[in-house]
Formats: sequence, structure tokens, C-alpha cells
Amino acid sequence: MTADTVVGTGLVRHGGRKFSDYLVFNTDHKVIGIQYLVLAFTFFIIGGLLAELIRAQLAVPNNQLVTGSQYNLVLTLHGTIMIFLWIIPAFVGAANYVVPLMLGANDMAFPRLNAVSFWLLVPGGLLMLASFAVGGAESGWTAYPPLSVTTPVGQTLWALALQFIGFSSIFGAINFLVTVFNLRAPGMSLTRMPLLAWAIVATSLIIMLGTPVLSGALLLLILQRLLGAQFFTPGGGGNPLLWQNLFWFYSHPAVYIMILPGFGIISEVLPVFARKPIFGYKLIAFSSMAIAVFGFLVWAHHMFTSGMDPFLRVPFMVTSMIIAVPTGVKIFSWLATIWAGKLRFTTSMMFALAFISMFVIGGLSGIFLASVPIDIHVQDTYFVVAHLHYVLFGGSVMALFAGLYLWYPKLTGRMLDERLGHLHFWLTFMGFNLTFFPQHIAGLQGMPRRVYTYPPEFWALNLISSIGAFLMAIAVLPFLYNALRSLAVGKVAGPNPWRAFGLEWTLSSPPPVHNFPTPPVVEGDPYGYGERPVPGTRVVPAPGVAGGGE
Amino acid sequence: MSETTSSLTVHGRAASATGLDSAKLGMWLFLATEVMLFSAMIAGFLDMRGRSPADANHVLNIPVTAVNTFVLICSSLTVALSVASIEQGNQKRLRTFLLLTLLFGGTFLSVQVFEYTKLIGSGELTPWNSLFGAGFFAVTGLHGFHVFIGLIWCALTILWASQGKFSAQNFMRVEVFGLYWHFVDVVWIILFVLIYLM
Amino acid sequence: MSDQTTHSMAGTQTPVFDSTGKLAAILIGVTAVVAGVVMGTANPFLRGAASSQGSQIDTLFSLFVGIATAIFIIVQGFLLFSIVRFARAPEDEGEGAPLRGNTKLEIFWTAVPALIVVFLAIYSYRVLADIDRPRPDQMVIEVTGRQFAWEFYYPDYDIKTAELHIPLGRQVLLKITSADVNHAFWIPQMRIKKDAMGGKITTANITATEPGVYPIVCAELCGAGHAVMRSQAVVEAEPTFQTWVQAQVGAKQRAVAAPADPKALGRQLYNQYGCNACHKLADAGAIGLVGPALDGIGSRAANVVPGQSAEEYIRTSIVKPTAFIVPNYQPVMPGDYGQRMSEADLNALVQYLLEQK
Repeated sequence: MTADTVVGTGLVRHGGRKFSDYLVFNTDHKVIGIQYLVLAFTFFIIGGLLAELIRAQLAVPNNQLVTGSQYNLVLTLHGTIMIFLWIIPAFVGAANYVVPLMLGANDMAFPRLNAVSFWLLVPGGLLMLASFAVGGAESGWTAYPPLSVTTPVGQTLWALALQFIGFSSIFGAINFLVTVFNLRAPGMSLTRMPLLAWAIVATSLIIMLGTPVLSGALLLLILQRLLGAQFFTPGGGGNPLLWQNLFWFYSHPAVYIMILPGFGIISEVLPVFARKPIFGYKLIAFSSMAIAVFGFLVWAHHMFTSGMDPFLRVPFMVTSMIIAVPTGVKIFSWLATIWAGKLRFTTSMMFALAFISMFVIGGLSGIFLASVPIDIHVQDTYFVVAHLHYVLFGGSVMALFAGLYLWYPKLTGRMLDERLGHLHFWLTFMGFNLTFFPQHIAGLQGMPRRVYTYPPEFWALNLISSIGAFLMAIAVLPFLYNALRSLAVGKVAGPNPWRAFGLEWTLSSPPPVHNFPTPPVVEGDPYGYGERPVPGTRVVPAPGVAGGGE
Repeated sequence: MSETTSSLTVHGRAASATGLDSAKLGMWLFLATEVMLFSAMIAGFLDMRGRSPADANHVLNIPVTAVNTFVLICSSLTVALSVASIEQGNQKRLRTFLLLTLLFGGTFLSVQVFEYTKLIGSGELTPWNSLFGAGFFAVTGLHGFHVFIGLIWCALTILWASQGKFSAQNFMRVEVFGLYWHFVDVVWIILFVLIYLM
Repeated sequence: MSDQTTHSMAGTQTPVFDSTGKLAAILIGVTAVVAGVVMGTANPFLRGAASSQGSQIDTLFSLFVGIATAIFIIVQGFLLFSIVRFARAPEDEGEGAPLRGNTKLEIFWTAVPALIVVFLAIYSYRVLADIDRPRPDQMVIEVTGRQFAWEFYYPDYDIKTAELHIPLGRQVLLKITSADVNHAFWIPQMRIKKDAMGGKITTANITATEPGVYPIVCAELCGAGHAVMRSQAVVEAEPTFQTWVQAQVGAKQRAVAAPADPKALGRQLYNQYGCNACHKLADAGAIGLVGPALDGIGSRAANVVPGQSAEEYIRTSIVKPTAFIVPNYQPVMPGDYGQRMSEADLNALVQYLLEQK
């Protein structure tokens, strides 16, 4: 058997060489990675259309496009889909594909469990769509009771969908942790690991410790809705704050689940296109772990106005502010990484640079929100909407695209068109800022979130926002066209089109079914630009540079 | 690659970079997620307990449940003995102790179902008539579901044992099942103390 | 391995920190400080605080804006400078300077942000402790949120209204709760927000410093009518406030003393059940904008739904609001008035509305 043969022919296979291999229970991490990415991108389109509907409704005040109840359904599904069926699974997909390759492993630690994780997402996604069709999930993605126990039946389907997605997440996290710990190639010590692997370790730890708490909360919510148990309703002696505590114990760390892999991707992209080693490797790796720990100590900052113990707000304020420090450390390290480099402005690099620029805004507004007195004013306003989109779109989604443009040649063997890529980038970048920057101001001036209409004084800000959202929708078109067209006619990539370090670039594009025909030899971390020759390239040593001829 | 097996999962290097067995490491990590799940449920239960009358649990039958707890502890013992047996290559003792585990676990679950029927049938305690009842059924029900999964897993392990899939060199699956079963037992002891005795 | 490119390891390496770099760093630093001071002083984002804690929060906010602006300029400045200065020359296949870190620099940019956030946390705490402090002459007002209206009860005077009136300069203690799902009571101009939850009373202190009329907004998603769950806060000088209180007390006493006067009773019921929060009606002094205005409803009611008399239409609209939705309005009115109102109250209210010609 050669390394490039697909095993199995029925509904259970390993390896992806033809289209049908991608439609079955496939245990190849590369196939599963692509399955995740395609599924997630489909939901990105669905969630995006819902967002366009929101912006269409809000383009003018007193708009009658949708009713209040329909609007609540749309915003709930938009939030839930973008978080649980786009950002999280898209990162899982990208990591599924590249992390085992980067570590020099032939697959994930548990290939069948890996496929199970993916296939749990499918019923999760279908239930989510069913809940939209039936209607009723109208209490926001946060689903605060008592509202979420009075809403119609779609809310139950919504909760069930999240249970499936949660299990998928938990099994995925366990798989990643065992893979990173146990399947590293000889010589790949922990401090030689790519920073994406470190980020995945931190992310997986958060998922492992946080997601089960959400599962528990959802279980109680479902039991209350089906059996009439009174966990969360004050009428029956229950406690609405119990939900908020359990929910945010998971959902604040979930913010880091959505951004840490992005940090990891940025740490991979910048060295390749700056032609420099990453600056401050250990501090970046350590700060990911610090975020994973601190991420669990800040959840109550979502409840500063909820009537929680007033004195407890103080320690939560302090931890919420301190978590800015490890984040800031990364930003400064990336700035130092591009300093004195030889920057190549590929689309991937553009998205990575935009990530730094945009994420800083989201990080800074986060410090405002951490301060209790300021939060009293801005909590539950459009300021929060702006903040979270600067983090999750300006951060996570920009990072995802940076990663997609970097690894697309590895996944497909073809290059993406750079001109269409730049068009995609600029439309996204402009549309994004146009959409979300005005929302800071709307929130500060008194516009609450989750409203289907608003007083006319907010019209101008909302109209700008809606125009920006329209641009963002247009921006997806060149990307889709580019990604599909390049599959057939893109320039052949070869194993290492970017002249990059990293074990994934030592393999053919796409890699053989069983990855490494011979175990790879690891000589250092994947950031040795200017220190070692990139494997597969011929080097003219510069006179007088130490280590140049290594 | 010289691999010739047709198995879909077995390819690549067997060695582990940390020296820990992957299956065992995975199981420990899974149990960590279970700890978080039950911690959340117990925290929720304690909140509900605090909002209920102090004597809300007086309808529960402590002697019967104490005996039932003892039965479950016995099953933990038998599962440990089954691992010890196969470590020495004793197939017959392995099967016997696994069967005993299944028997004890099954007894525990049956008594629990009986308790539920009685409480709900008499209306003394139901998920919908009091907050304590809601918490009681949610937490013990989740645990019971874990026992149920464990029983299916135990039955499968017995099946594999009877097919001769284990030996003194190869019994990781028995060990991993044992880890799960011990965990479920430990959780029950905590629940018994918190719900019945406090 | 087909991709063989020829390049030099460090060919024309850019100097790591030459005079241009130093100049840029100084320039970015100075710009950051100046911009931070300007933005912090001008604070163009928040204006017109109408309460004492509002001014304190705004001062704190300005400080945050100043610091955030400075950090923003530093990051974007270095980013833009690097993009311009370190762009690769078209033919340059060389590598950048192989820098792996600098311990002093890394300690610096860990410690300085840490000091900044600790400072901001301490300052925030001081503001928080002060705005939460009760003052001796507090007046208590009980606030109840329900889908989708606010109700205010003044225990000192035993009056209930749909509009909040507070005396200028006197601290008010709001005791906030909810009759159904979670809401959040927010007066943007006073920078005050607190959740309203069933079975629980949350509190907030406010001291109004500027007379005026300010919107009250629900900030926690509470159902289909969340966006229109609004009321207003009227801040007036103590004498005006007292006059208003007396007018409310008088209206209530008239209604109690002379229940025979159906008009007074109607007005009282209209306000007691919170109709005024959503439906404008000049006769009852109601200014709500959520639902259709009810001025002159008595003359229109017979012609709205074919087959329904004026009385039937009004009664149905109260007990089963979804039966007919006036065009351009949303089905957000609570459906439980049939249970909440006694038969006598309902009849009296219907009669009152019928007389609005």
C-alpha cells in the first residue's frame, strides 16, 4: 500500500482523493478539516444573511420589515450560528487540517472520535436550522430565563442543537490535547512547537473545563421547558441568576475559545511574510496559557448590572482588566515581529496586519467594559455590540481569512488569485469599520442592543452601519468566486509556495493520505527565518552572517 | 510506508511523545470534563437546596439508598478486581468480575428507578412541584444516565472479553472502562452525602 | 522538492533600530501623548450627564478615552510605520533580521500595561464606591418592569405612575424589580442602569443635577416589545415636583372619594394598569408612544373591525390584544389584562374609553 491511497470504499473511509470521500464518515484529519471548514463557511453565509436582515430592518427608524418577535428570532440565530457554527468550527477545521501536519503526526490521536466530533455538528446544525424554521428561539444567544422558558418550542430545539455542538466541541478538545501531547514527531519539544499548537492547547483546555458547564445549564433549561421544573423562574422559587452564572462561566471563556486560535494563526502568518522569526516565542506561548487561566476568573463582568453582590464586582473588575495584559503582550510581540522585516503584502498578510489593527480596538473597548462604573452605562448597549464584533470579526474572522489564504495552497495544491484576494480584503476591511465603528457612538449615546427600532436621532449612525454591512456582504463574493475558481485553474502551488518553515510545507500539496512517509526530523522551531535555510530552497549564504551556512 | 493493516485507525507511529498511553490520557481528560459537568450541576443543586425548606429531603428513604450506595461501592471493587485479573491473564476471573459489576450496577439502577416511581407516583416529590424536587431529579437523573451508559459499556466489555480480545499485555479497554466506572461511583458518594444526608 | 529559489540569507538586511526608526518612535510617542490628552479632555463621545454619578462616570470615561487613544496611536503608528518602512523591495528575496526577543523589552511591555490597568482598576473602584454611597435624605421610588412598560410607585405619597418624576438635587433610591421576565432599567443621560428581575429587588442611587426630560429605556431583551419599552424621567425643581405629587395625590383621592365620577375613576384605572405607558391619551395625561393613541377612540371604535360594536372592539382589544393589530403597530401588548383586571375595573375602563370622543 502506498502512502497516498484512500482506505475503505463504503461509508467509512480514510483519506480524501475524490469528491465522495468528503461526504462520508472519513477518519482522515485532513478530510475532516475540510468538512469542518465547508460546513462552517455555509453557516457563515446563513448567519451573514441574517445579519443583513438585521441591518435592513435597522436602516431606518420605525421600519416594518420584520416584527419585534421575528427580529428577536433573527438576532438570536445570527449570534448563535456565528459563534457555534462558524467561528468555533472553522477554527477547529483549520486546526484539524494543519496541526497534525505541523507536529509531524500522521493523524489525530483518535481518528474515529475526530470524525464523530464532526458528524455531531451536522445534527446540531440541522436542529439549529429547524429551530429557525419553527420559530421561538427569541431570547438572544444568551437565552436568559425567565424569557427563554416562556418562548415557543423552537427554543427547545435551539438548546438541543447546542448540546450536540457542545459534545462535538468537548470530544474535539480532548482529541487535540492528546494529539499535541503524544503525537509530536521526534525532536519536536514543547518549545519547538508552532505557536498555533500552543494556542490550540490553551483553547482545548478552556473547552474541556467550560463547555460541560454549558451542557449542564442547557440540560436544566431543557428540563424546565419540558418537565415544568422551576430551576430559573422566581415564581417557583428558582433563581434567574443561576443561569447567568453557569452560562457566563462557559461563555466568557468561550470568547477566548474564539480568539486564541486566531492568535495562533497570526503568529504563524506574520513570520512567513515578514521573513523574520516570531518575536518573544516563550512569552506568546505563556500568555496563551495565562489567558486560559484568567479566562475562568472574569465571567461575572457580564453581570455587573444584574444585582449580583456589589462587592464581588470589584475582584471581577480587577481580573477582567488584568487579562488585557497577556493580550497586549501578544500585540507588542507581533509589532516587534514585523519590525525590520521584509514585508510581503500577500492577502494573508493583509488580513493578519488588519487583525492587529482591529483587534486593538476591540481590546481597548474591552477595558472600558471591565470598569464597573463605565459598564453600568454601556452594558447591553450598541457599545457592546461594537466591542464584540471588533473582537470576533476584526479579530477571529480576520485571523481565519489570514489562515485560509496562507493554507489554501496546502489544502488544494493551487494558489488563490491575489488580486481577487486584495479586493476581498479591502471590501471586508472598509465594510467592517463602516458597520461597527458608528455602533460605539450609538451605544454611548443611548441605543440599547437587540432592538428592532430606535428613536430617529440614531438614524444617521444606523444608516452608515447598514451601508457597511452591505459592503461586507459584497466582499464575500470575490472570495467565494476565487476559492471555487482556483480549485480548477489556480496556479499549481508546489509543496512550499511561501518559502515557509513548518513541517506542513515539507509535504506535497495536498499532502499524502498518511502524511509523513518517513518520520520528519525536527531541528528547531518553525520560525528560523534568517537563521537556517528554509528546507527545499537553495541558499546563498550572506558574507559575514553567523549561522548563515548552517 | 510499510503499513499493511486494513484498520482505518491504526497507522503511523505507536510511540507517544509523553510516554503516556493515548487512550488512558484521553480518558482522564474526559473525566475532567465530567468533573466540570457534575460540579456545575452540584453548584446549581446547592443553590436550589438553599432556597428550599430545610427538611425538603425528609421524604427520601435513607436506609434503602444507603444499602444501594453500598451495592455501587461493591461494583467498584469488582471492576478493580477484573482489571487485576486480566493483568495476570486470568480470562475467567475477568469475565466473572465484569459480570458481577454488571449485576451490582444493574441493581443500583433498578432501585433508583423504583425510588423514582414511588416518589413521583405518590406525588411526594416530583420535578415540577418543588425546587428541591427539580434539583433532586436533575442531578440524580444525570448520574443515573451515567450509570446506564456504564452498564452498556460493561456489557460490551464482557462481550469483548468473551471473544478473547484481552490478554495480560493488552487490556487497556478494561482499564479505561474501569476508570469511568470508578468515577461514576465517586460522584454517587458525593451526591448521596449532599442530597440525602445534609 | 521542486520549489527551488535562490536567495541570500540576510543579503541587504535592514538595520534594526537606525536613526529613522528612533525618530519614528519619538514621533509616535509624542503624537500618542498629545492625542491622548486632547481626546481625554474633549471626550467627544459622552455628553450632557444629568446626574451626579453621571459626571463622575464621565470623568472616569474621559480618562479611559485618553489612555485608549494613546495606546491606539502607538499600535497603529508602529504598524503603519513598519508597513511603509519595511516593505520588501520588489527583487529582494532576502530574509529580515533574525531577532528572537529582547528580555528587557518584553518585561517593559508586560509591566507597563499591568501598571496601567491596576491604576485604572483602583480609580474605577473609587468612583464605584462613591456613586453607590447612600445619602441621608434619600427618597425611595419602587420601579417595576413588565412586558412592556415601567411602573413607578412612590411609597412616601402612595401614588403610582407610568412616568418617573424626580426632584432636582435630591438623592433617589430606586428599588427595582420585575413582574415577569428580566428587564434592565436605564436612563442613558444619568448613566444609570440596573437589571429588573422577578423575586429580587435591585437598587440604584441617582441624584439628578439637570432639570429636563430624559428617556427611560429597557436594556435587557424582554420579548417582542423590548424596543418600545420606554418611558421618561422628568427632573424638576423641588416645588414643581411637590406640585406634581399633589396633583397625583389629588387625582387619586378624587377617584377614591367619588367613585361615582366615572371619568375620574377611568383616568385612575388608565394610569393604574399602565395603559398610559404605551397609549397616548390627553384626557389622562398619558404620553406613551408604543401603541396607537387613544384620543377620540370613542368615535372611531365602531368602524375599526366590521361586525364589532365600539364597546366590543374596545373590550376585545384589552383582553385579547392580538385579535386585531392596528396597521403599523406591533403585536406587543401583554395578553393577561383579562386576568389582571376585575370585571368591574374592566367595565369602568371600557366605559371611560367609549367616552373619549
